[in-house]
Amino acid sequence: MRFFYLPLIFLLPALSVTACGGSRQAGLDPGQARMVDEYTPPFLAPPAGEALKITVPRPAGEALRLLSGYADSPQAVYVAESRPGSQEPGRSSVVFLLFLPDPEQCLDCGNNNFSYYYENDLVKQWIYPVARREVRMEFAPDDVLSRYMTLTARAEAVVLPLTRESSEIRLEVDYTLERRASASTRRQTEGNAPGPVFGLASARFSSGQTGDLQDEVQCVSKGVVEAELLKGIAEIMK
Amino acid sequence: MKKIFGPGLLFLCLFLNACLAGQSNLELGQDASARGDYETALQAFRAAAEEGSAKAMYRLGISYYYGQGAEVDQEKGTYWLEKALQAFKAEAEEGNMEAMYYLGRIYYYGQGIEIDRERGSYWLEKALQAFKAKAEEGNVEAMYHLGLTYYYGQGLEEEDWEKSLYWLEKAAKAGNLEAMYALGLVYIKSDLFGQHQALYWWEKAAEAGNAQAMNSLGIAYYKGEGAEFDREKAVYWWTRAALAGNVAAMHNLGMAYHKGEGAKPDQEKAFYWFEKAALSGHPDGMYKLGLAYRDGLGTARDRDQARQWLQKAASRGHEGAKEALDEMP
Repeated sequence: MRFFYLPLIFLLPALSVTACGGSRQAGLDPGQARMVDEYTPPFLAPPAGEALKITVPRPAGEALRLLSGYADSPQAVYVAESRPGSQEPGRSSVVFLLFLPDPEQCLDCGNNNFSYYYENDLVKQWIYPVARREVRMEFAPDDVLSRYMTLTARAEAVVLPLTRESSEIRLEVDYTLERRASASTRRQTEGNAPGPVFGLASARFSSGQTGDLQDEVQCVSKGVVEAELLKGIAEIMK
Repeated sequence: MKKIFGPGLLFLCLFLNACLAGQSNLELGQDASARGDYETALQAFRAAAEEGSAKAMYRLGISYYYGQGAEVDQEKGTYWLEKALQAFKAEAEEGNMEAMYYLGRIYYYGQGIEIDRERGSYWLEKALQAFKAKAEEGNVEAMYHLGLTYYYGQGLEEEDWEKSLYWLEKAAKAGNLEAMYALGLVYIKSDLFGQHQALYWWEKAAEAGNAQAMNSLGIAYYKGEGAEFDREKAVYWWTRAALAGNVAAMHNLGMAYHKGEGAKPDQEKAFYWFEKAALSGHPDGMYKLGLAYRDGLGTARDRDQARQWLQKAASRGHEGAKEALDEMP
């Protein structure tokens, strides 16, 4: 199993690149916008972005559970959601939002040397209640419909307990990514297809970094997650 | 002319229709909102809010607050949400269960006000108890609310999907179309109970005329969720949904024709549906219409129109539109 670290503090600035003014190819062709609207939630669903709120786990000894999803597209997304724990009494689940790069663009998968890419609508697409143990997400990249692909992700480990005694919060998850590609996809990605990716994601915050985080998150969230992630972090930092 | 007066005229027509059908402004707004026609919805909610409907005040506040059917205007949003809060408070004190629920939402999510989780949870919990009591007496609307509350775990210690399925299914079996639609969503999203069951409920809802379910069926076939991939079926359902007024389906249909997915590529048809979606306030539709004008896809190139539609989309927070505008000379 290969491990790598994705410190969120480094991840967030990278995420903000396109959201904060990075350029994108123009035209109604590849890379434009999603092809298909996501299923519309009922009006009474929590407001958009609410699912990204991260609540502080209740009693001590609680763990974070990270359910991760992985979608192949120019942008790959880990879904974050706060969920009360269902496996063990007194546990809470926190699913954190992480992003992964396009496997085809990622020349160095397995290291923390990714160049992150971000597309706002994707975040919305993935904000929904996720399965408790295993998440399977199928996704048709809007720009390359001919190479529809399915990728699977499994969150394998319950992550470390939150320690609120210190001002440091550490999230870790051990995950396995499994890629399922159609024949046409395989043909197109041969050569640098990453195959299964294994990893340990880790994020570390300290109170001293809050200011920076806020700036970055606000930037990322423009019209996208509406600073809900920021609120979640702020809540944890309380 | 059409573009300026389109939504207004449409609203007028819908309003007259609604009057003939005995529909209230609130119902008219709710129907339009469910179709994704937020501009019509906003006008209907405004009319109903001015008539004193708390629910309409809430919907109007949300529309402004999140920029649905209008540019984002948090000041106006807050104004109406505060009015709704006061109205719900009075109704909740009198035991109105829906008012309790909405009051809980406003506090819990801090919609237009400071987040107050404690007060939010208090009212959501009260609403849950009220829904439960009514649902057990056979009140179908309460079953639907109860099912959703369990699903999202609003105000609860934890969500309970089994209970959610139980109550949504009861409401769906009693013929509640919204419950059928929501039940389909639970099945398709959870992946634990069999995604194919989503299609069963959506087809039932669609055959009863629910355009949201038609659009979702299109998406399910398009993505192969709960069914085999079938792009032609996707186009079939999107067409039905679009003709029934579902705005998201208009956009999807436009993309299907644009890409030639499930139908022959046809840029004129794509333009037609993008325009319909855009005129109903769909930001992605506005964006794509802008690009179609810019690039002359299915229509003559027209920079002014392109800029106008991209600006409209950008004013609703569409990032792609903002970038496209930046890149325009």
